[in-house]
Amino acid sequence: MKLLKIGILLALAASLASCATPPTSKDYASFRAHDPHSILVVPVLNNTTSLTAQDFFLSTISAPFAERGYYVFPAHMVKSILEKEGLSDAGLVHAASPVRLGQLFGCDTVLLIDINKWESKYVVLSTTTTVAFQYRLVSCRDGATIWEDKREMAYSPQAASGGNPLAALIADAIIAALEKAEPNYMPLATQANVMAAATVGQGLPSGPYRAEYGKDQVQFPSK
Amino acid sequence: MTKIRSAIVLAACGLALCACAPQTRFEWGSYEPSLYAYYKNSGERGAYEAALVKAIDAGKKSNKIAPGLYAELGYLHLEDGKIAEAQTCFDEEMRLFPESRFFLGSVAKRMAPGEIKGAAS
Repeated sequence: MKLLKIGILLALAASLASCATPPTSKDYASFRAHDPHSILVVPVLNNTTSLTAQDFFLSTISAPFAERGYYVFPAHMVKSILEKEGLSDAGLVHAASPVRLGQLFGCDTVLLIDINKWESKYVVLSTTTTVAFQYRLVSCRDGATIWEDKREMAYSPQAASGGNPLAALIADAIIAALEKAEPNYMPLATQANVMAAATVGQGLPSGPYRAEYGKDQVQFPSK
Repeated sequence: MTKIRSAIVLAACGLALCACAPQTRFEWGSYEPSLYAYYKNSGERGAYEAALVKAIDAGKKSNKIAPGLYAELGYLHLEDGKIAEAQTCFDEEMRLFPESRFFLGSVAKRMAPGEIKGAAS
C-alpha cells in the first residue's frame, strides 16, 4: 500500500514536471517574421532498418501540428500524389528546394522529419521500445529554417509486482515477449509529436486557427 | 479501504493536473488509428473512409472539422472515380481552409474527363 502511494506520488510529480516550463526557450524571431499559416508534411526520411516506420509515423503527425492552429495539408493525399509524380523518395524531396515545393502546393512551410530510432530491444526480462525523431520546419518563401526540434521516447512495459516473486517474474517475461512480438510504437510517436509541437517555449507558437494566435509572445519569445 | 480511496483520489488529482495538456481544437475522431490500420493492411480502406466520414460529421456539429479530413475523403472518392463526390469534398475543404485552395484547385483541374485515370489510378 505504501509502495502504491509512493508510486502515485511519483507519477504525480512526473505529470507536473512534464507540464513545467523548460528553463530556456527557443528564439521565435524568425518564426514570427515568417508568420506561417500552413504546413506541408512531405515523406519522412527513415534512417532506421524498419520498413514500415515512415508510413506508420505519417498517421501520427497531422493532428499534433494542426492542433497548434495551422493548416496541415492532407498527409496521405500528398504522399499518394508525390508517389504518382515519381517523388516518393524522401531523400529526394528533402533535398528539393522548399521554394519549389511552395510553388507546387501553395504551402507556407515544409515540415521535414527524420526517423532516427524505431526499435524494440529485449534485455533480461524486459523489452524497451524506443523512437527518435528530428523535425525541421522550413519556409517556402526563402528556404530558411524557422523551427527545429528533436524528440526521443522510450517505453518498457512492466507487470504490476504482486506478492509472488516467481509469478511476477513470469508475468514480466510474458509481457516483455508480447511487446517484443508487436512493439507498440504508435503511442510513443504520438507523444513525441505532441511534445515537439506543443511544449511551451519549444514547440510552435499558436497559429491562426487558435484564439491565442499572436498573443503568446511570453511563452514563445522573440529574443 | 480509506487508504485505497485516498490512493484513487490522488490518482484522479494526477489526471486532473495533466489537464494542462491542450484541449483539442479540432474533431479528429479515429482518423489516426484508422489511417494506421489502413497503412498496415490495405483491406482497411473502407474503415478508414468510414472514420473520416464520422469525424467530419462530429466536427460539423461542434464546428470543429479538422484540416485535411475533407481533402482526404475527397481523395478516396477520386481514387474510386467518383468525381462529383470528390469535388464536393474538395469544395468544403477549400471553403473551411483557404490555405488549401491553390493545391486542391490544381488537383481539381486534373480531374477533367479523360485525365481522371491518370490522377486516380
